[in-house]
Amino acid sequence: MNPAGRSVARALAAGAPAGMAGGLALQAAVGRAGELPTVAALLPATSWKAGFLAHLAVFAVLGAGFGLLARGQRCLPGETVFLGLAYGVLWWCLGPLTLLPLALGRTPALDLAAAQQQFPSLVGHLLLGASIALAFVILHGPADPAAQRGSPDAGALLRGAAAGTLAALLLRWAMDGRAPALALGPALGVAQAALSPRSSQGAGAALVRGQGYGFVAWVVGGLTVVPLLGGGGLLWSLEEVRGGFASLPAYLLLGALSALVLAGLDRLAPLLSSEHLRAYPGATAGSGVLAAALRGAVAGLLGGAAISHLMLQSTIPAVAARLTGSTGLLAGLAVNLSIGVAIGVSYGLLFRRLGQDASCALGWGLSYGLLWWVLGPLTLLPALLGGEPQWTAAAAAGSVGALAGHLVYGACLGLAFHLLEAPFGVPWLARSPAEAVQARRRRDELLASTPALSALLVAMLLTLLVVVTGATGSV
Amino acid sequence: MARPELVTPNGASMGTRAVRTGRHAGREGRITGDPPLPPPSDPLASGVIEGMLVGVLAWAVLSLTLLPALDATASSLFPVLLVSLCASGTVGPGLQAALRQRHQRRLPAGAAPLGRRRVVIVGGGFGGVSVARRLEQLLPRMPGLDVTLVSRSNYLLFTPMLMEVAAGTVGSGHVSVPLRAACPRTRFRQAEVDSIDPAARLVHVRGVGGALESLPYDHLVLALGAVPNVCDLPGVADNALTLKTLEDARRLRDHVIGRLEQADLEADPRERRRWLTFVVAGGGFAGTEAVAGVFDLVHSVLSYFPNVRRGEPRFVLVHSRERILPELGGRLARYAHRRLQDRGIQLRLGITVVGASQREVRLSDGEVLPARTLIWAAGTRPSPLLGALPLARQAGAVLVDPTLRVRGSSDMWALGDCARVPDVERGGAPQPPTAQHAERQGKAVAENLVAAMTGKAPEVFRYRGLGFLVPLGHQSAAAEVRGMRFSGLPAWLLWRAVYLWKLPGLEKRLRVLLDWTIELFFPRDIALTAGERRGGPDPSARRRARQPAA
Repeated sequence: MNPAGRSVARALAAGAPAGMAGGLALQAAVGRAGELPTVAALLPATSWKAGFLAHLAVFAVLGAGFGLLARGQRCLPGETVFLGLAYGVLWWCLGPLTLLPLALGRTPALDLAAAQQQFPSLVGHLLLGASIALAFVILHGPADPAAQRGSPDAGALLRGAAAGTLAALLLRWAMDGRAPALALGPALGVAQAALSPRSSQGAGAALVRGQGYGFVAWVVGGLTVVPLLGGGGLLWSLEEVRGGFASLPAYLLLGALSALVLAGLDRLAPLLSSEHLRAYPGATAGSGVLAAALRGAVAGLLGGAAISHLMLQSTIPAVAARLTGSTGLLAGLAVNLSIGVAIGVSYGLLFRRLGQDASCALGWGLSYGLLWWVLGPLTLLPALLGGEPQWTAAAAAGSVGALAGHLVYGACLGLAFHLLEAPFGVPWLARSPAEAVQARRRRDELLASTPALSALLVAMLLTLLVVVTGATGSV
Repeated sequence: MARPELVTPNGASMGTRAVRTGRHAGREGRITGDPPLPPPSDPLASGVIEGMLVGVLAWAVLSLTLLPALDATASSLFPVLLVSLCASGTVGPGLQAALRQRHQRRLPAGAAPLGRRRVVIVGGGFGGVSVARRLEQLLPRMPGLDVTLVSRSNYLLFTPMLMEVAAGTVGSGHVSVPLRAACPRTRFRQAEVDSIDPAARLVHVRGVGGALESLPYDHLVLALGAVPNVCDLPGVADNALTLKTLEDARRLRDHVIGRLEQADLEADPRERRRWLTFVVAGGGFAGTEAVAGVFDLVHSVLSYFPNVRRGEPRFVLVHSRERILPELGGRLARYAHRRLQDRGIQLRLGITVVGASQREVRLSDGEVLPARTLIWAAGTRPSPLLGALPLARQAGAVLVDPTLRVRGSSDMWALGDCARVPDVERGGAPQPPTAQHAERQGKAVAENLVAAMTGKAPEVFRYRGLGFLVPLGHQSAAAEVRGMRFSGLPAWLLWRAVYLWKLPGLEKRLRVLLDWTIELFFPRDIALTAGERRGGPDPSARRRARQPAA
């Protein structure tokens, strides 16, 4: 068998059992709640055993499909899990919204009402995708031998636990009752350290991944495991999720904060341990920081200008009035642009040297924009107006326009920063073959992360829209 | 002689189309000692997923523009997002392929439009480094450019602070910036230039281990700098200390402290005075700064030497002209003169040093100064290596046209102390040999060199210096910036601020700032290092003075 054939066979051999494992995990969760996956409706249940085997066969096919998809991606284990979530959303769109109605003789239901009706199924598919991906990672192993080499040690897991704990404590201190349970912090931190071994990608990539881990933790922990352990049923219905909407931003921020702290601890680790320095990238403190901040400021200014019309219709004028005492248009514009520049500077510092091409930069920018939607309109802006963070489905529904605005801002920021940085951030001339290979490895590593993080962004956005749209009846 | 291939970030040698297969990747892995690179991600799936990012952006833009204009309801956002994702996912692979193909085209993969152009820069001072750094900035526009920097030392010495090292206020490693860090995209050779063959377009260099290597070039940049010029005066080369290198600065510091050690043990007052007399030849910037720096060093550590009385050390500045600091205006020069005199430094103007031995310094007016220290700051001359080149020269310096191209050559450029650069604003008079001029000339050479490669006309170099700053010892300086004159403490603060800012690299700036802060609270270190054990001036001074700078 040729190498490609062997690779396919290996992916199928790992994917099929991974699918069955994911199916069993889903069955276990749903079974506790006395429900069946929607795919059951497609199968004639002649007997319990036959039905069970048929389910396993369906999930094995789904797993094999995922294996073929993930086989071609050189992801870190955690990113494979993100791909799994997106795979789940894909099958939710294909299954309950398209194939199932067709099989039942109806037209595909790709509208919001049908999607919201099938929301429990969406959560189930997210859980299924994550389970399949996790099982696949265990059975198949990483595609990149470098990822194998970077598998976490006890020190890394300890740092993960410390980072998660610190992030949970910080969030609890800042958000009081809205923060997730303290025990989730170390669990999330350890998962991050285990699934995303330290790479040279820097704090920005860690932040985006952390946000993704927060989303995974919300689906697996917040909606499924924690309620089950608490003795209640699954919190998968749309009404329950809307009622407990505060947990979503809390998990997202916990994941992002934990990842950021972990990235910081990873950089500090050489100071605290005797671990060999060879494991760390070269010291870069001070090199190009100022230039990155300046480029970020310019890119942020452009992004802020792009959405200034929208932001001046939001709470920004009120924030400007509170901060400057002026209610004029100019004050609002100045505050909006200042915020844009400040976020741009932070982007420059966190994401410098990460945008290897335009699609990569677009991915980082959109993800950062989404994070700032949670941090801005839902959290900091209400706080600046003297109120509480608006972590409710109704407030989020009222901020869908702001969500679109932040995505546009993030896209402008990411692309403009990439254009400003590209002439100076890319090693155009490698001075030796070894340096060329290292440059290519770093570039490929970054480019390999982009599809998984993009897929996760799409999954998060679809889920968010289904949850919040119509929560108050208008946007 | 074999030379490493120019390699692109996608792993392909110049002239070789990048092939990204597992087999090639495995070979690349062996190059670095890392695990072999696996094949890249599946482009189809990646393209679909990354294409959806455009869909997300399109959805966001539609949500903000078209949908409100159409008075669409909130429920339409979801199907619009699905449609955007499907559409963009469909075109994603094509879009991604086009983007990456464009990116690959910008990389030097074989058929670079300009082909491979090799630039060799000899000399790692301000001028040479400035050329390399500017070329690195221009690399995105010139992907076929291959830049090599040859320097005897592997660091850029920030010479304006060299006297700070000699005076013991700044650590010796804090005024040097590694060239590999300063020019990260330039090939670097730590080597001495053995010879240059303009006909064959080859630079022959001798590496650290003594091995000879020939570097071919398409364009050669001469930034060889200058060496001390002792004018073959008897005994001067063997007995004078110079201040051109880091080793010179360390040696001068150790020499001065060593003289104090000797004087402290000397019972004969006449001999003690000989140990404690410090003569500086040359009243330009370097000499004035040197005499002030040595004065400060001696007086700041004198309390460690109980047998040396405060009035015993003697400092003499010998200058051939009627006033010191001829580059400065008369008022500032008079201020500097007065300042040095007030401190107790003797100024001998209108005379020169004509000879020296280990025990005395002879002056042109017949006076013999009993002194065991002579610091030579009375002039430099361009690198002797230039003498072997068939180039038009004046006073040893290569003649260049106003675009900095060597006269009579199409592929050689020269700048800095080794070149006579005409100042077109002053009727072609030579530009002063300062660091700021060398830096600006370096940028101009890089831009003109690229212009010449692309068939454009090089531009005339015009630069009006920002001014001059000269420290006059403890918390005092003279400065002339854009016609404005400063003196005393404000000038001294300006000097420190300007040179701290100009020092390359945040890390070095912080280290120097820390050194200066420590100096405020603690006495200077008087520990002698290896240099002084050899007993005074470097016995190889004469040989070094005749060596090329690169």
